[in-house]
Amino acid sequence: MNQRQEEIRREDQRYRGRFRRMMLLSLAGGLVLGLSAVKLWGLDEESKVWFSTTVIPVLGCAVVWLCGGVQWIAGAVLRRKSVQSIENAQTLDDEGREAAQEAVEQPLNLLLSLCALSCTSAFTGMGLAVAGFRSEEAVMSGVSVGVAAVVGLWVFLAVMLHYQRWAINFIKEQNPEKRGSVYQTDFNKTWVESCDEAERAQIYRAGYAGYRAAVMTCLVLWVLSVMGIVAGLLSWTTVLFVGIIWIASQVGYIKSAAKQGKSGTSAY
Amino acid sequence: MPLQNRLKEHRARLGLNQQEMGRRIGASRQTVSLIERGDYSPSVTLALKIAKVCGVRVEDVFQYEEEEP
Repeated sequence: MNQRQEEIRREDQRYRGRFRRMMLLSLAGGLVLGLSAVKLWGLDEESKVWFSTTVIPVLGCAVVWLCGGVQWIAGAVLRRKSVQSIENAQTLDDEGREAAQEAVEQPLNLLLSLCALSCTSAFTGMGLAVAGFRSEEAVMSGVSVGVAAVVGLWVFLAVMLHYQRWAINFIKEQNPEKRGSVYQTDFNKTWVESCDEAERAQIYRAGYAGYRAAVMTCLVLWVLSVMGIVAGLLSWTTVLFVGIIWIASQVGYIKSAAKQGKSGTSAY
Repeated sequence: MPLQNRLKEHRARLGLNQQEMGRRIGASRQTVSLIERGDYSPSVTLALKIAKVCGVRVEDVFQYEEEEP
């Protein structure tokens, strides 16, 4: 064994203990979840139906309207803060205006992050709410909840688009080199193309962090889906959809890495 | 960060604000600010552009100092 192989062997040895402990913990956690799932499986059909067709849809509808409310209030507060900050800086010198522009980046980033996060939450909520449509025993209330969620989603999208468009156009006013309209279908591509090297590096780093979070979440969801199927609460389609998202994340990463490998830029 | 820079000094000498400097080197105001704070190390291309706009050598704008172990 040469020196490099010896270094690699020692590095593996250093982390092997922690890895073994993690695997044992996961096994123990899986056993606990499995036993809980068997217990849930023992619930009567009426409870399961009530949970699926009443609790979940109402929760979903509530999430949609909550997202709309939070977006409206937070959007108004962050917009006022950003505009005031820039207006107050007009009387200052170059350094003062630059400091104000830097200070305003935080509320703007917060607003755009809120738009993205609340959008996915609202869509998820609506998806949960329409489960009420399937309730045969409480048809009217199930349909009402579903319709309320759909209306809530449209209201939310209008509010979110309003603030998203304002934030993007405000950023474009402060940074004339930025391009892209929120009404464009390939807005992200146009926006990234107008970013310089430092901004692109930040975006790509954030993208990689997002990919890692997606893969980890898929693993957890897979475990929960399997437990849900055993408990009779979920169908096989849940695991299928989780698998599709998992595979899509991996394929996207692999394709990009392979493309960069061909162009001579290392992806690792 | 081992890369130090005197971009702010050169920018002040030229009488440019960050926005104007960014426009001349083809970068955003934020990137100029990040470079001045030492939070971002520019690529070779960008460093050369900065030196050209400042009218000095790259070494007069950026200095590499080894970090002590």
